[in-house]
Amino acid sequence: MKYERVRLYEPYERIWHWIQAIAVLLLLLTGLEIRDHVRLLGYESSVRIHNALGFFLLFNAFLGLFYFLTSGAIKQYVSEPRDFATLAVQQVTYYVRGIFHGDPHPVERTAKARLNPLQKTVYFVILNLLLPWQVFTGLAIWGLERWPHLEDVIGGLPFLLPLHALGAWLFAAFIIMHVYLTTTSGRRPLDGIRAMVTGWEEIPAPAEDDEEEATS
Amino acid sequence: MRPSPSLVAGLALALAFAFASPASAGSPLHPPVVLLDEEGAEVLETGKPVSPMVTCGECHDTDYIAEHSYHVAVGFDERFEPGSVAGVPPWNTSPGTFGRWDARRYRRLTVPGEAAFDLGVADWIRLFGDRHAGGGPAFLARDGGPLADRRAGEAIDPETHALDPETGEPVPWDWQASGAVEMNCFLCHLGRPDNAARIDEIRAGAFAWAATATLGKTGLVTRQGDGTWAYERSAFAEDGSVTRERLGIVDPRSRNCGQCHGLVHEGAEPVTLTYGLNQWETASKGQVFSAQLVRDSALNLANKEGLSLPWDVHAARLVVCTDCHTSLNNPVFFSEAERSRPSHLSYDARRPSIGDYLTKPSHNFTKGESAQGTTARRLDGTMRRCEDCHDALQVHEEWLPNPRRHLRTMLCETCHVPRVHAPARQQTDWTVLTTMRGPRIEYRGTDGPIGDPATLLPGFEPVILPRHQKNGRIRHGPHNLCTCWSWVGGEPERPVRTRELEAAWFVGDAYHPDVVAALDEDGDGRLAREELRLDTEAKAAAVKARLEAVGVKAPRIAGWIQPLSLHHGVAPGAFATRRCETCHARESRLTRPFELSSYVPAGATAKLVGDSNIRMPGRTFTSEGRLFYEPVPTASGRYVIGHDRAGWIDLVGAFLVIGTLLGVLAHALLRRHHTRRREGAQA
Amino acid sequence: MGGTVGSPPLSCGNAVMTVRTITVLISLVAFVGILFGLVVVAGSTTDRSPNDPWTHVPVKLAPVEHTQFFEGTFEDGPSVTRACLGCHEHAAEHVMRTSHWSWAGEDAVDPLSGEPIRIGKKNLQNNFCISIAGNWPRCTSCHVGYGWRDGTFFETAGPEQVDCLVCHDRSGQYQKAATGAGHPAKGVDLLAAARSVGRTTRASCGTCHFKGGGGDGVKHGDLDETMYFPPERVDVHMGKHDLVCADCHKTEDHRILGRLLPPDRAEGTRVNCTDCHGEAPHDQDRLNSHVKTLACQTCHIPTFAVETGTKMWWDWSKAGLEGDEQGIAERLTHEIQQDPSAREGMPAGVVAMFERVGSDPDLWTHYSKKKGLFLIARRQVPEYRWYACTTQRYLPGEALADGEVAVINRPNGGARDPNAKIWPFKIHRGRQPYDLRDGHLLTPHVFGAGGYWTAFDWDLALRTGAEAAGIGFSGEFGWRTTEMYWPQNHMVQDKEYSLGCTDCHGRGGRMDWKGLGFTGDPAFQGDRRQMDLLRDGESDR
Repeated sequence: MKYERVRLYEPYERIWHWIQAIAVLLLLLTGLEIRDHVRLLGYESSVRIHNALGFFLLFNAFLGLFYFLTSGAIKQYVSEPRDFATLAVQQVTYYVRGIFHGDPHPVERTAKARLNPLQKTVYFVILNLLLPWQVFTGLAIWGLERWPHLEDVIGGLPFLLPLHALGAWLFAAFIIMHVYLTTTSGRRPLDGIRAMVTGWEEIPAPAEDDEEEATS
Repeated sequence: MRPSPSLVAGLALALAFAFASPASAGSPLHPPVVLLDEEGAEVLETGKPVSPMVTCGECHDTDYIAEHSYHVAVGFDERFEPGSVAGVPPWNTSPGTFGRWDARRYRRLTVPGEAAFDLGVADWIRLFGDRHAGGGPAFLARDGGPLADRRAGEAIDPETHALDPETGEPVPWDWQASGAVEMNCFLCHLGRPDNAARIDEIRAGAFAWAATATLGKTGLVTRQGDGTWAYERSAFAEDGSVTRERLGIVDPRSRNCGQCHGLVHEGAEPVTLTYGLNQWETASKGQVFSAQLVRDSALNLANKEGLSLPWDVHAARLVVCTDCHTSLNNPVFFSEAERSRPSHLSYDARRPSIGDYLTKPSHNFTKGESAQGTTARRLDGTMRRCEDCHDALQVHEEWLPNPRRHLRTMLCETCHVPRVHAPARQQTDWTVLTTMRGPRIEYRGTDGPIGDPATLLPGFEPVILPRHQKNGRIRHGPHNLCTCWSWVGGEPERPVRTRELEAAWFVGDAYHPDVVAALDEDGDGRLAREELRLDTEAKAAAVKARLEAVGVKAPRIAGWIQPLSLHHGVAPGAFATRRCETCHARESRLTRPFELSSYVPAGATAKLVGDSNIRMPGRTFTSEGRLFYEPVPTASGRYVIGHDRAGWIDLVGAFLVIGTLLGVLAHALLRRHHTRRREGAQA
Repeated sequence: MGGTVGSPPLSCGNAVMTVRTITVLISLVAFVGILFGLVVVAGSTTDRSPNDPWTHVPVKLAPVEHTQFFEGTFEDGPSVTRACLGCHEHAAEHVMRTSHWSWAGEDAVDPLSGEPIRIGKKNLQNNFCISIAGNWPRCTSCHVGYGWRDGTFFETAGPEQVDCLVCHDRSGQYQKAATGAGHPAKGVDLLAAARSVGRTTRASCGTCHFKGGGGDGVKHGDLDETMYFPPERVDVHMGKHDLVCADCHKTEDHRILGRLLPPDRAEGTRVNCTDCHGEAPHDQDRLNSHVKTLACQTCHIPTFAVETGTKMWWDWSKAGLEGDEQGIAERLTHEIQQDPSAREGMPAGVVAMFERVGSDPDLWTHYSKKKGLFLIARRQVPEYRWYACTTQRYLPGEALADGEVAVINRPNGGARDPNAKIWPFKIHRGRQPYDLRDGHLLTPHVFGAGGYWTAFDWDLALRTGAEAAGIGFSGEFGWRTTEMYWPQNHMVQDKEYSLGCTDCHGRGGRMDWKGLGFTGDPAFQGDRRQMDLLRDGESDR
């Protein structure tokens, strides 16, 4: 199979990704300490860091949204309805069977369309449901300190904290899955991660060598 | 006894003079006093007991004062029919000491018309009068007339009869001979009141002389051989008056309050404890009001050298009792509670004049919402609380995450009374009698017998309980829990009287053989202190049989838990709870089991008293024979981050994460396996 | 391996690109900022001290080993000095410019005569051994020189007469002879001492200053031999933090900072707590607001003479009695306790202390035929006075003002003096001879031939003493009660053991507010400046 080196991720996308990754990991860690699962930095510091990072994550998410919208990179995440289901099934089949037999990826990757339908779905859910979920419950928990009467509207801590914790568990599960699946995407297991660092990855060259971008 | 206008004018003039020229601070503010008897005649002439109501009533409206003083009324004005109030024992007749049964004293005011006579009013005065300001139930009869006019009739009435200590039968009490206890201004307004002499007179039944005896240290009076008091002419001024200096009239000092409420300690002498009921709050809650550093006390405290905090930071900062517990109409201090103030006003500038106040100073003092202070509940929450003086947010915002939530859900005392250094009462067991014919009392915060100087005193951590405030909010605060075990029996059911207890337990000076046989575990024929416990069916049955033998019908053991909230003994910030992990951890101080009783009498359960504003969410359990209470904060609608967790969330979450991990692992292994096989096949 | 895909992201100059660049920068800056903030937050929770006093403690250079520099024997002190000067050529010159050498302060003007005057230990009087005039060989055993035997010393003394060893010896065996005019005692191994020299230690200072007044702890109240190795409870600086004298008494060219009783407000000569601790060292505003009225010492030296007794009363008039000294002390104490006439002229505070002798373990008396009757006390609560850090010094020959008590060094300051603060003092009181006719204090010649300690003849001792001091003596003398003020600076306690509110405020506090010029307790009456609540007839106490 022919491979070619392709610039998959713009610098900002990479920076954004890793910032977001560090923030989420730190949030998970401090969150663990706040719930007394681990002892790391001291409770007080953990609370402060967790609160600050929460706001930062929100801020960074908006910056990212802005970027994806203005740059058009948002298209990467929007699923096209055409043969989406078929491709998704193919992708699942690939993970369940094809991958073991060294089959090629069922969905062709290009710099313009680097995500497969499953990724699109998962990222859509993470960015549009889980992240807002965490942000909202987190903001509410934080806001109750200052505006206690909100308790009647959005529920008290006994209601909100378990929801926030559930979101955290989901995030943790996502990260495990996410990290693992990057090893399946490229030629070599670490290619996916390397690409997110350098921006470049070797992907299977298209069958016909006529794409403009490839020769520009 | 209305004040004469000229005297009021004179007083106002004296006041005006005193305030206008600070240079003359040495001149006495209080004019000389002529000591009068109840007829209004000078005692120097008549030799009769001093009447504070008449003497002080010359200028101050003592009738008004007596009517506006819960220290005088002690529940007299809040009496109710026994059994008519839910949640309190059916033998209680008021929320104050005059009618509210308390295990610490045990003795009970007899309900009128009740056959089982325990205390008559005169007995009540003799027993409870040591901690009563006089007047009210010690001066007035039920019908409002003076007690001193009451004469015994045919019927046995607690008001006219008293218990004969010899026979245990009610006998008429001679009110005309004893007189009644007037409201005693001297007790609180003298710099050096002779409280011991006052209590002596009250215990002896010489009620009329109680106020006079309080003057014992002024040199104005001396006790005569026959028990009466004589006046020292030489100590009086030529005109028969007494100067302010001689009398030593002062604004009530903390020590005055301490005479009844607990240990108020001033000066350099190291703090010592008596554990007696004369240090009521100290024995019950371990609280000491003193500026002295805990480490400088004479107590054998654990880790003493590090305890360089004052017993109470407010005492150390020169705050005295009356700075917070002020008169309700004191124009300087009074500030209306938020809930009764019109919402458009933050401060009502209209005050009584100083003159009005000095004439009619309300002696109802502002009070908080303690768990135990049941008298004058209508005045609960009138006191300025911590946050009314301290800008708590300002100092806590610097370091405490979520300061508002902490302050909203917890009283300041929760962190600022992190530990009680002196021992406090844990349980009072009246189901057994010691050789002193008293209950067996156990303390918490001690490693051995109390009073033994070698006993190490580690102190104790109070338990944090939710308090249901008048404003509808729930805040958590530190408490001591005092458990009482007692026999109740008879028809109607009442705590078994001490007389019957003694009859059941003792033959002469020795324990009854049946009791010894049942309780003597080591078989030495004697009952050691540790053996005094009815923790098995057999022991309880033996004592029950004895009680039945002396005529108590259907005795059973009942238990009560009296919560006592801790508001004094406040620690400065450096010694307050500061570590988040103290509470926000799996091992949280908020849920640490708190011992209720070091043993449980067979078949008995203890329940929270019904007239308290606190609740005990959580569970009680027995471990190694000891009774514990384990609080559960979530039960009062609170979620303690770091401690509480919704179990199913973590279960689902952990399942998700572990499942993902396992799935990923399995997938990876399969991939490797297939890759190898493929590579092998290619090779 | 294929070509580039896509365009270089930042090369495009259009608006979207610019916005994107800014976005990248914002997020990076914000993230770095947040991380930095977190580190600061996490760090600040553990370390809250804004002003660390340790930064003011001098850093010491590594010492130079002197062992190999000296060979052979030294016959006397000056020969050692010559050896020192071989390398440290200006050292003697520096020392000879300091008051440690001259026993005199800066040039000043005598307020009485208008003449220039230099006052100091050399020519002043106190109410302990009174004066060095005529008693040089004894008194100068604490002088940093050799051979100050009489009043002509400074005319002849040269650099080799500077005693380097008394401060720089670290062998521990160097000692001056008690009566040898500063020369080393017999048996001192000068070579060992010379080889041991190095930076000063606590002993360098303590050997003289702990024994001021003639014995351990006699004079200062806050300095005695417990300060060689004080427990934390005696002095926090030296007991807990292991400082040495020179850490605070910073020294340059042998000029040592710190002057206990400066005659004027010479800035820079004093060692101040604030030099290291700042003007607002407490974490509470209320405490910091005390700083403008109180010297730090007032709260942080709650008692002086913590373990060793110090003299509180020295009655020279009782000197000369024959017999068992212990018995005489007891008899005199008993008389003072019982007989009002024996208390005549004694300040009330001293009488009160005498009354407690026998029942208070911290008070005792001592008698010496040579010196008279002493009252010695331990763990004493200081007396408090306004003090602007200058004193009005009694000058030799000055006629005493009328009054019960003559003050030898009146602390300047009062409630209305903005520079004055309330200070803790040890007030040493005593009775000493004065000229009945001319009304000035006399300076007895006590030591040596014809001195009081050998002849026990007051008339002779006062005459020869007056001659030596250059003051007159009419021949008639009496006994005068005097006071000397010793501001307390050492034996400092940290916050654990310093005073609390109730020690001064409220009933039973230790402050005499009215005596200090307040209308009453300022905790309730208000501060002296804000409320202007001073008494009209403000006293200068």
